[in-house]
Amino acid sequence: MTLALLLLVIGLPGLGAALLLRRSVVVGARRIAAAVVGLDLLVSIGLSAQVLAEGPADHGFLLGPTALLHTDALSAVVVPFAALLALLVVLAYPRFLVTPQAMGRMALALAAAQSIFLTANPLLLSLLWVGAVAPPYLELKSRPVARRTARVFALYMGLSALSLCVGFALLALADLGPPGATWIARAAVTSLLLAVMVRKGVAPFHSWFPEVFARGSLGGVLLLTLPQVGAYAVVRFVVPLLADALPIELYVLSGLSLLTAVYGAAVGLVQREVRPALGYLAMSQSALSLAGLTGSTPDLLVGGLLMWISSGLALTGLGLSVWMLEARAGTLSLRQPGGHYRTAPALAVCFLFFGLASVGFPGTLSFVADDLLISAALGRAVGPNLALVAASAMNAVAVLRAWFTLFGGPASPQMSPHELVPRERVAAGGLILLIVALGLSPGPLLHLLERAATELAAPLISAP
Amino acid sequence: MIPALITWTVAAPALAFVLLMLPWGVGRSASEVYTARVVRWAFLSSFLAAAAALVEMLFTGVDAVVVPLGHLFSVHHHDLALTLLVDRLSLPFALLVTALCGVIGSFGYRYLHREPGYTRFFILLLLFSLGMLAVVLGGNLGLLYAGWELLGLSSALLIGFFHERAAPVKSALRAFITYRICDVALLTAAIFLHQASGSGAFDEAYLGLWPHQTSTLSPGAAGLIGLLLVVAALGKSGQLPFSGWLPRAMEGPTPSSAIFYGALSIHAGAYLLLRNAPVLDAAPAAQVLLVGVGLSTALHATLAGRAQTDVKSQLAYASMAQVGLILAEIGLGLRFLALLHVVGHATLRSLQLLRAPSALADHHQQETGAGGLLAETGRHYEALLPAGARRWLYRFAMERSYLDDALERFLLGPVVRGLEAADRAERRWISRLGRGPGEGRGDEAEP
Repeated sequence: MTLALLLLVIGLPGLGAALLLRRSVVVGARRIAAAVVGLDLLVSIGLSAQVLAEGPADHGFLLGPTALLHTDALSAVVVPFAALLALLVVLAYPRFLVTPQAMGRMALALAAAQSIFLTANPLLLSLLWVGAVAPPYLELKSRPVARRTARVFALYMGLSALSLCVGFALLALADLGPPGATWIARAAVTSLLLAVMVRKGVAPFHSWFPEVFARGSLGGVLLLTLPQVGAYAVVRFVVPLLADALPIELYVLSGLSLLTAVYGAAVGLVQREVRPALGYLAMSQSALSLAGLTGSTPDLLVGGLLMWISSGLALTGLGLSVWMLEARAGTLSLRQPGGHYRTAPALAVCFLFFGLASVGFPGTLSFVADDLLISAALGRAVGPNLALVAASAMNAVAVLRAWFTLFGGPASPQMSPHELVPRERVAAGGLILLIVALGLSPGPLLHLLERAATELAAPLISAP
Repeated sequence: MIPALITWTVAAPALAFVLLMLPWGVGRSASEVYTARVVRWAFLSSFLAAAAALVEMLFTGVDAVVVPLGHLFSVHHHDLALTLLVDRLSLPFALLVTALCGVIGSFGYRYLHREPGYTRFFILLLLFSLGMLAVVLGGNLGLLYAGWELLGLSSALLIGFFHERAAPVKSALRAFITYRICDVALLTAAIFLHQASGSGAFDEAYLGLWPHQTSTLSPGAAGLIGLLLVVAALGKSGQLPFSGWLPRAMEGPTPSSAIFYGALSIHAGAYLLLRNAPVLDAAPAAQVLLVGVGLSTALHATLAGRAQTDVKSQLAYASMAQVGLILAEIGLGLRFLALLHVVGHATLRSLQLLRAPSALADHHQQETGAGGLLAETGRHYEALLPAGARRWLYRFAMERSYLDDALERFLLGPVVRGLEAADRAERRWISRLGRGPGEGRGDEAEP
């Protein structure tokens, strides 16, 4: 039963992508994509219920030392999460940009993310790691204004994929090699962490991150960055190695993540366009989540997991609000007031809500995530706490600056009202309700994440 | 009965907030009548519940009640308890909040009639009252911090209420940046207090009843937490060196200026310090700093206020001066005096700010009553100074003690220039890295 659901979760978007990419008629492309992704969300929820009832399990045939697929409490959270993000992107995709190919790429991105989230097999992950970045690369390459960005993206992702493959190869070598050859294991961990750092845009490997936000198709960029497959690689492959390898590399990664969070928040304050500002915000939040995931206690791990989910939901809403406004009003600059409040009041509310929800505003899920991360970091040095608090404060200023600049200022008499269409209203309203509901009653989600953290950190807890 | 009454005191504005947001959720805007009715009943019932709780406490002789409402979350050893604390400090403040919000609401129904942002104003007023009640009734620093953030946001959004003009937007951002700086200080203080005392709950971290509470903090911990609390309070209360945002905050509608910068928000810092008075008692450096900054601000605000040419700015500086004195009183340990000063100042200043739009009409009425021009007052101190010093002092007051310039030149400017340089370096790096064979530097437009 579980295997069938697993195949459906991966296969549905895969089949949908195949169908859409071969289609030449634009009409109905969104409906097909929405049906496929919506169905995938429902199957994902069913799979999660099944996985939670069964406990951690391997599925499929062995590929090397491990099975092809693996499910546990973490999969039960991140698989529906990825499907939800994809559904929101499909619903809010601007009408004039909808083509069968664009919708197909969304389905393909979902299939790749779901496959990554359901595997614990190094070989398969390496293949998917490369496969998942191919659609956004091709999309960037096809845009005349983004060819330079495409080359930068390819360089960074190539480095990430190479590091991942080298890391897993060294790990296999360490298992086969003589006992005591710890340097190989350390080199493997370092290489894996390098792969994650590049993929998640951790300084000094971060420059591609705001750049793809600035030049890429926003829907594709959101699905590339916000499900956070890099975070998954850390918790699935690196945290379990902690019992064997010295954690100094993790401390370095944790420190660099905090530095990235602060740096991203600070540089985001002086952006002159909305898209790179959004990119820096996402980079900062993603680094905050990684700082929690690489922390040495289960509490920090729960905080990091919660930040992963909360910032993913809120930033998707924020990104889609930007995209919906951009589709109506053109390029959005932060150089001078845009005056969009009068013409797009609903989008103003959405932008403000999602922006605040991404930076730890009370009543939203990220407030709980922030609070938990900070509380969990209490017993550690003062520096991490200050970095967390400072990054969060600067991100909030960046959000409010962007909001006032976009929506403040005199409305141009030529501007026509920008009402939301029903599918956009459903996407934005549903996401707002979800974020508020989870923010006011985070207990069930936290319980799930606690279980996931306990399963993931089992080797860490049993270590001497 | 007290727990139910206090719960309703907080729940009523929260419920009204939801009721005003509901029409937006279904794509409609709330009418003025509906908005006014919801807000009126919310503040009236909230005030009556707080008053009933006070009466019950007086008659039963209960000094403090802790109202547990559950936990927002609880993971391993970390949790955020939703606990309200009702005592001799929080209840007078809660009464003040509900009463003044109700008065400002009543004023606003007519004052903002047919204003495009009518419902938005009341939504933000409800959000503010919710934040203020969380600050004064919150039983731990976590809940107080949540309310503190709501205050900051609603304040910034109301300063920028007339967002079609550039000045309110700029002032709102300036205020918000200052708030975030003081938020960092408050959150850090909360972290250290939790770490040092083992609990963020006021009834556990401090022993005894307000105002005779004590703490078991070590002098070092108390000194650090005290200084952070003072910084947080100075930012929120518009004191030196964070005072620049306060006069600019008058860009918002008059009712919001009255409630925020005349009555409640500006006293949130004083409340924070009164609530954490046991920390200050053990932190002499923080006390000295508080007295010094409070008195300096009072002097600065008095000087700058006398050179202002509009009534709202004058009142803003007058508020700043009074709050400076209140903070000095707290630093000197005069807690009941400070509490009385807060209540008196908040009510008087609200009245003055609400009358501010009618200042000219009032003046004419007084002149008519007096039968001629009114005698000029308030020039006694200036007359004591030599003419040269008077001119210099006037310039000094006009330039607001050159503080904003100094902050701009020596702090904000270099930081912004540094960040812009980092941003340019990022763009150059991407441009160089992504350059294809045969491509020049300008072959692709900058984003």
